[in-house]
Amino acid sequence: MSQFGSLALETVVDILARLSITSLGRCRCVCKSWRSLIADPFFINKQLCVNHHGCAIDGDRNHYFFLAYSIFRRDRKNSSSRHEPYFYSSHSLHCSETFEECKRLQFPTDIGHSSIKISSCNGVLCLLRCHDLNNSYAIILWNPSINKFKILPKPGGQFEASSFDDVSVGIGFVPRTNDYKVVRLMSMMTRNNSDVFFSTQIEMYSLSTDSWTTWTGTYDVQWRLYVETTDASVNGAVHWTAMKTTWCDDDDNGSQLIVSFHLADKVLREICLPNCHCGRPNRNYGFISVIYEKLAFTIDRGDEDLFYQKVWEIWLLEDYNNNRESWTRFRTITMGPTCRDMVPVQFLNNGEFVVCSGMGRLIVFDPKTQQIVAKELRGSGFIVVNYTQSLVLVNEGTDAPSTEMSSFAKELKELVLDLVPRRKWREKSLEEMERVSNEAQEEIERPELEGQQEEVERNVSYCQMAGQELQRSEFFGTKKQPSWTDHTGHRPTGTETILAKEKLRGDSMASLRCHVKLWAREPRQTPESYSDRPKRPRRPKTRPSVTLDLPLTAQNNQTSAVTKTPNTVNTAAAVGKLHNTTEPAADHNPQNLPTHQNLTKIISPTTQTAGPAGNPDQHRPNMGGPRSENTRLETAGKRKRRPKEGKKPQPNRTPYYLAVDSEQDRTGAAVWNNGLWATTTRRMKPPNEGATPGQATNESQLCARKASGGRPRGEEGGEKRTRKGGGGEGEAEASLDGGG
Amino acid sequence: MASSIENNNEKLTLKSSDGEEFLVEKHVALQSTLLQNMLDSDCSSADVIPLPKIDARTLALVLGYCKKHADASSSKQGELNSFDSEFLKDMDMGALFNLVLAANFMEIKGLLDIAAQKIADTIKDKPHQEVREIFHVENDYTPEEEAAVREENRWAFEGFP
Repeated sequence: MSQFGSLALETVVDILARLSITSLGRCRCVCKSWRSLIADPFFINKQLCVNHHGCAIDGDRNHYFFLAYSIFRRDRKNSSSRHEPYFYSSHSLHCSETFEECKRLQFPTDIGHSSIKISSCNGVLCLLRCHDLNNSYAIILWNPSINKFKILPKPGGQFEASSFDDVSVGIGFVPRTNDYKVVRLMSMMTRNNSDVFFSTQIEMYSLSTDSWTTWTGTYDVQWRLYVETTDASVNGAVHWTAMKTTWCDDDDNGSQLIVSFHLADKVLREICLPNCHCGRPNRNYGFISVIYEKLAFTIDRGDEDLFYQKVWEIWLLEDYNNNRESWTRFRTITMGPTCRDMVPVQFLNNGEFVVCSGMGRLIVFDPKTQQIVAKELRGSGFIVVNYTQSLVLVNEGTDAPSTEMSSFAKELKELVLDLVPRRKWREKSLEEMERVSNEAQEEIERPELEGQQEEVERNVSYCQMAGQELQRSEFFGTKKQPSWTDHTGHRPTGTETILAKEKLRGDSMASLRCHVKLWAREPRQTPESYSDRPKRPRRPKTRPSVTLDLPLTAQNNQTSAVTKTPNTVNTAAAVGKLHNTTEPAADHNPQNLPTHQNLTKIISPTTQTAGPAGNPDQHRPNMGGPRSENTRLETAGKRKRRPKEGKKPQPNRTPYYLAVDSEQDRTGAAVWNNGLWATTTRRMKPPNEGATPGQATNESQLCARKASGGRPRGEEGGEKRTRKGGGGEGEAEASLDGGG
Repeated sequence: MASSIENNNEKLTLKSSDGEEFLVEKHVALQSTLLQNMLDSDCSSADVIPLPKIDARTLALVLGYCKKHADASSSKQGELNSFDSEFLKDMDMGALFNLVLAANFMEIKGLLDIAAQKIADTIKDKPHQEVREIFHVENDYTPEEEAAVREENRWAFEGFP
């Protein structure tokens, strides 16, 4: 009798190695020896080998692919505001099937508002997560199948990358030592007089010793890693694509190459690409992957300017040690007219299917039938990696949060976390962040949102898209008119467009969306002002939603009415109310506020209609405490806020307000994300000729433009400042105050 | 082994743990990597090869499998697959365990795969208490320990009744 009952150890291992990961997890409860067997590195490796080579009879192969993408469109280059939420949603999908079978996973840590790079090996994903504003990043190992993760210690390298784009990671397995290694590679540009050199720092982490080794400056290289390089872990090495920094035209090999780092030998190597006329000008993108345990390189043929199709070639490196000559063409993929603009990003089932992304969607393409096999997925920032199920990290990892938690709640949590000012964020310890997020979580689980999270999510996502679209069209100055006009033929402003869209989508959900936005956004402070400010008391949980109390249909109608005749805006009332909301006990009379007299003059209205100044709370829900700032009125163009007594007016760059308080005050009812809103408000029709508010608005815009460096778009100039937590818009306001 | 190349119908004698002897053709025996290595390294000078871990009943099954696969190596794969599934169809757990052990010992990969997979498929959806019974494993956990291990592997019990 062995310790495994009547069976020999080998028999048990042979059988258990063929079980799925979840079955194995349950089998750990059988007895103590099984428990330790199943966590043994030898067994983990055996399980991987058995499953990887597909011994399963029933065809239930252990191939999955992992997909991360952001729900919202986000183009970093064109995006004017860095404060837009940058959501990642993570999915695990069974390969070769449709997206409908996907299981939603949750990233083990908050990744809101961060860039992420993912590499994968033996079922472990290596996440490189970066907060782009302060360049701090973390490397996290994560095994989604057993829901364990491990945050790696900080590497000890001397150099820090100047930007996230210069950092790449890769994870690989060294069979000889049965160890997993993570390699971090950074390209650094150094200047010597007029010459520019690129040097490389390599750091390697070993899971078994839980420590980093660094090699700095020993590699002077003639290349620089591609920003969007994928990585491939094969033949005991990690590979990336790189761009030559010295490239001569007669080099038929193009400007691209593959860089590999061998994990056991610790050798950095350059691998030439297949001799396939890479130098042609119209082919510029290639990516690497692994097909049949071989390094694969995919590049578009680029020799035809066919408008109806695009041909991609897949090359395999047959003899790894003798590259150049041993590249063989494995297959070509012809993308027909419907997906000509899609770019392959990953292969499934050893090249049987191709995952392509582009135009804000992701498809799975079958090259043989030229068909899209799965329902397309919308979003952006797609990251697709292959992974298998494994038990790696079962000993080393810590439990990730339960997957049962609604992922939308989680995303919202990220959004809220994101609102913590940058500086604060940096200063906070991890525990503190956890506490904040827990609080946020409590808030999210409010009864109003119960059961409607899907809807809310859709709406938030949708509205973001709409806003971006709007912004883009504005940015490019397109003549594209919004596709709907109201019955008078009036071309709607951005606000109205959004509201109208919302109306189409159902009033209740839209107002819920507004609510979520409103609630989620708190005003940001500039870093300077931040430390001076007393801590904001926590708002009462019972605070009712602003917009839920207002039927949205009414908002829509009234909004368009007012935008057409904005000179009916009661600005005096508005200013009064503004004070009121900033400091509920303050006097409503603007005359008592000397610092704002100028302002009042600038935007004083020609016509005053009976405003709600006398009774500002008439239509307003009961707002307790400082959160009532959220109902601040937004006048056409610029908001004003009462500064603190005896202080320079503090800019506040948070224009997320619902300004619908009374019938006369509806200037621009919707609430928007700052970057987006800044454009949409400006876009609002100026009042009819001769109307002072309109001129005032224009003036203030002019000032704003001046203040932001003369660029036509305030946010562009303000971007750098935005990074500090203050904002271009905010500074524009400040200068407006001074100059007026 | 010049003689074996010359004479393809050479026979080997295998002896099971309970003393029974089996006469097999050499090309059938070559399905086993163990026997193949023994023959290659020329250590089969003894006429009888003892297989101390394998009883007669199991060895008969193993040799049946080997014979089929050796004879049918050139024939269609589908036929072999149906044979494989038929081969294991009504086998009880004890016989399957013995088969896995024998296949492991004799290094017959195909047989090991199908037999082990068959057992794995049987237990994959069973709660661990039943797995214990099937494998005749004694529970050496205290109830508290078991609960702790279960908690530790919570991810495996999600959605599991």
